[in-house]
Amino acid sequence: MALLEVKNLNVSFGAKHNAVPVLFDISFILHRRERIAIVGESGAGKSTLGFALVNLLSKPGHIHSGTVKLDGTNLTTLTSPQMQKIRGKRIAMIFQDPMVTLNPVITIGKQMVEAIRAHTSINRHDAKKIVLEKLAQVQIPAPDIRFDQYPHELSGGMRQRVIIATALLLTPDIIIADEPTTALDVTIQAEILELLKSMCEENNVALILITHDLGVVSRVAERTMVMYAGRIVEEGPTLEIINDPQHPYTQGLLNALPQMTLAGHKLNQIPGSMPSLSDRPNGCAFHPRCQYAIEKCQIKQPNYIYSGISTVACHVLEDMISETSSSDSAFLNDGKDVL
Amino acid sequence: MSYPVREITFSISPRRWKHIWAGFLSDKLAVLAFSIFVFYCLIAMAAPLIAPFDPYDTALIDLLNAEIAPSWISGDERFLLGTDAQGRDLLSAIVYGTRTSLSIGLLAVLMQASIGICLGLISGYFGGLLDTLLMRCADIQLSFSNILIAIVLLAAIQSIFGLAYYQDHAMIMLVFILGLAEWPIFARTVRASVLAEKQKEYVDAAYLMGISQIRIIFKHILPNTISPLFVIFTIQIANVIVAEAALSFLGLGMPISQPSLGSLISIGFDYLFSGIWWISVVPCAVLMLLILVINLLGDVLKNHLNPRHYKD
Amino acid sequence: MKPTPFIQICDLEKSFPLKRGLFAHLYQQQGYKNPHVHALNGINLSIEKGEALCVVGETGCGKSTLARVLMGLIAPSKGQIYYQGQRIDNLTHNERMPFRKSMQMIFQNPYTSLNPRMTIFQTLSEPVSFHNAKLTKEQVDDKVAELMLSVDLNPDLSDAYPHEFSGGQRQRISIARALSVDPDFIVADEPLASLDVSVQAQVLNLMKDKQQQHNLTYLFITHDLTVVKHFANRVVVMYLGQVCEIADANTLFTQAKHPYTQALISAIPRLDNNAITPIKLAGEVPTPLHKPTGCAFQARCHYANDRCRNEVPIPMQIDVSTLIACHAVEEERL
Repeated sequence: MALLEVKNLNVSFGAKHNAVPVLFDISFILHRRERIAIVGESGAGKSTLGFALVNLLSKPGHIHSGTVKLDGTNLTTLTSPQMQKIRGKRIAMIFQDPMVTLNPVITIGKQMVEAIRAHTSINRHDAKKIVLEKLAQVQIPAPDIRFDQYPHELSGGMRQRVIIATALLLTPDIIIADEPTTALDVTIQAEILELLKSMCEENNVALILITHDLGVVSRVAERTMVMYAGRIVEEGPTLEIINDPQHPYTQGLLNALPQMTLAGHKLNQIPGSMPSLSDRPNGCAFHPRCQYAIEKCQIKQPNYIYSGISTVACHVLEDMISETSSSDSAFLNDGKDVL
Repeated sequence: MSYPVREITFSISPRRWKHIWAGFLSDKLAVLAFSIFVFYCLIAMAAPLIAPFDPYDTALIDLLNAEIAPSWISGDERFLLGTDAQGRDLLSAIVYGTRTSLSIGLLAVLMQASIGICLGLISGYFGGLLDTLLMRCADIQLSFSNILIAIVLLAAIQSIFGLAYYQDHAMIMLVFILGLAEWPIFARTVRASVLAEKQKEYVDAAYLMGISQIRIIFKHILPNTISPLFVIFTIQIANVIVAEAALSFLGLGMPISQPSLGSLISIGFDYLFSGIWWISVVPCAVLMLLILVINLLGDVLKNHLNPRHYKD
Repeated sequence: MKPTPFIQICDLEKSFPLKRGLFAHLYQQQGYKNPHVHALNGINLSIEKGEALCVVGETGCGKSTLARVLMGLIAPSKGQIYYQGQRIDNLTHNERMPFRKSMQMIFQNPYTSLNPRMTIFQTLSEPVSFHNAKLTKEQVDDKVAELMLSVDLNPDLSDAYPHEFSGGQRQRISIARALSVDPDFIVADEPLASLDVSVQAQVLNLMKDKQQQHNLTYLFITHDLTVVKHFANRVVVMYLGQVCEIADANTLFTQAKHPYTQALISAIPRLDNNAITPIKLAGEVPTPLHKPTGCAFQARCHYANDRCRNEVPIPMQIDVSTLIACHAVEEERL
């Protein structure tokens, strides 16, 4: 059985009559111990999705329809005290800026002990033992000294390690990491990613990694979902997406990377920029920037098609597939059935 | 060579003032406050046309008309709001008094603002020793009560130049002293905004273009620091009018021959307990409404200029 | 004799006092010690005409300070900067005026580098009319329209305010502003850092085009090595205010010598999944305040020996284009 099952999740901002939809029809499944990545540029709605999963949308945002099921329990209908029990205990979150999570005036040890005691009845002494153990696990040198230090006394990489240790304290089922390495330098970033990956493996934790960096994705995630303007446009195994992207946006995104071009050559750019959520184009949101766009793309939102390996939402691709294998339509499935 | 970059059409988001105006119109209390304030301003501007008598013209004052109650009590049609102890028409005196009070308020705050903004800009932009000196001056000035300074200065001026000279120039003196009194409020706000703006790269970019620092300060930085000042500007007008009224009440403000709202209250105060309440109470009500309206306007501005409410 | 380089930086040092204000000033006069943060420690660098020189390094290595000192936004503590043989670091704001037209800067954050209360026309026309006082109003209008077209923006949008544009468009406006005075040298301080991948490509292509069209020289500051490989002719690797390695871009990526450069290159997030495992560096990045003795990198270096811990390595010419400051390379321990 799937650990986390998201089905037809729609999120809107604003009051009922003039609500702006920000997430459209998000469906995916996360299995135990699986590491998936949500990739997209700024404004794609990837962070909103992260918050929606744990019911933490800030005020004007709300879940319009759809379900988020954790082991069969629908999270969208839980009351906030019930949800509070799940956050931290079963689903932990890691943010880009560690200082969002760490209180600057309390020592890190005390914060971590409190985090344990908020969810369990472990006494202070045992809690401290667990904290020290976890700090050692994330390779923090001299954990007993760090225990009594304040967040500002640690470097950025060290703080992110503390955050990871905090997330692991109660051995959650899922960690949602929202751009965990964006604020860090490359050498530290590599270490933190490595750590995050091995920690998830060792502790049987599933990971949802939210990032804009395809390089980061390829290092950590087994499956990848690409988001554009609030919708998942392509979903599949990471290697497949990187080596053989189907959706024109994924292709454009990959080709725009400097490492995909020969030195001295012009980079392959996608014209224009991501539309803001308030004036999302009709039909496929990507069509104004898409070089393959056909008339249909301006009118109708494409359905999900399953190509055998990955799931894509694109009219052009759908037409191509139905032309080549019109006789054998067994390949074509509605995405919703597959997911 | 050029390559096609297709511009995604974007709707031009509502301009800032339009946004504020729309928000303002939807706020009923704000509209009411604004209308009343405009009404006050119109009265102040058109005082000679509206007032039935000229309160400054001693020829029109007749002691026989003294202490007539408002017309709804006395039935005297000539004096709508009654007369004061000298027989002066109270309505005319209030209309002219509003004009005096508002003018003093506006002029003094203009003076505060221009001193405060200039010093704040210089202090924030150049920093260093100059900044330290100016800001310590501001601290020292703020640590005194403004009324106290005003009383001391006004009393000194009265005794040096004589009462007659003072009464002839009372308005200029009041504007000057109240204008000097609270510049640090503007200076501090401006300085804080300048310090934040100075960090932004557009200031560096302008500097690298070779644009003179004076131009950078006034053309580039000032427009970005102005919006919080509107709120202070509005509130300060109310504060100055109250301060002026207080000084007048203490006999240091406008002379009885050219009364402001404060002096009218002061004149009437002596008669308050002898049953002639209207000389004091009516101008008092007028003043209170004016202050209330200005403060409401300040609040409205604060809400609508707040960047938390306005996102571009 | 070698010809004068286009831009030459000699022994450049910059340190910031840790404590500021009246009392710190007085204390210092009394002989109390005020600790300084050394952001730049003796940088020697020359930039040739027409090249794109990239400066790479992690947070706090002093690369942005280098850009700001070079442009005269902050004064250096020591050392000299020459522009075509003329010393420019000790000039006042007015004396520097002739050089302003030839040296311009593109900033990191497109959201703060444009004045939010000025329309695009005002932003672009100000430098144009300021540096060409003789132009008529129509000529200024034409020049602004031309500038906007040259960065692929519709001139009809010139009366819009910056907040009406996307990040990429704003960065193009910044480029247009820098080009408005026809410079021949542009310092770009992390111009891509706050842009999305697909938009980064647009801006990078534009900068490359402008380099060809106007024969520009770039000093390009970045933390992203993939961009460097694409954009640079030569690369300077900085660590804690010091130059570790200067090399041709191609040489650097194929045969980096300095241990720090090697670690940096191995840490680039790559798409080909398991090709290279990142070299793990020991410890944490030291802050410029607590600088280790000897080589700045020694605490994190796998090759460090006693000499590295005590003696500061001097940059050494390895071959025609490569300069390395490392004892291990010098002693061929690597």
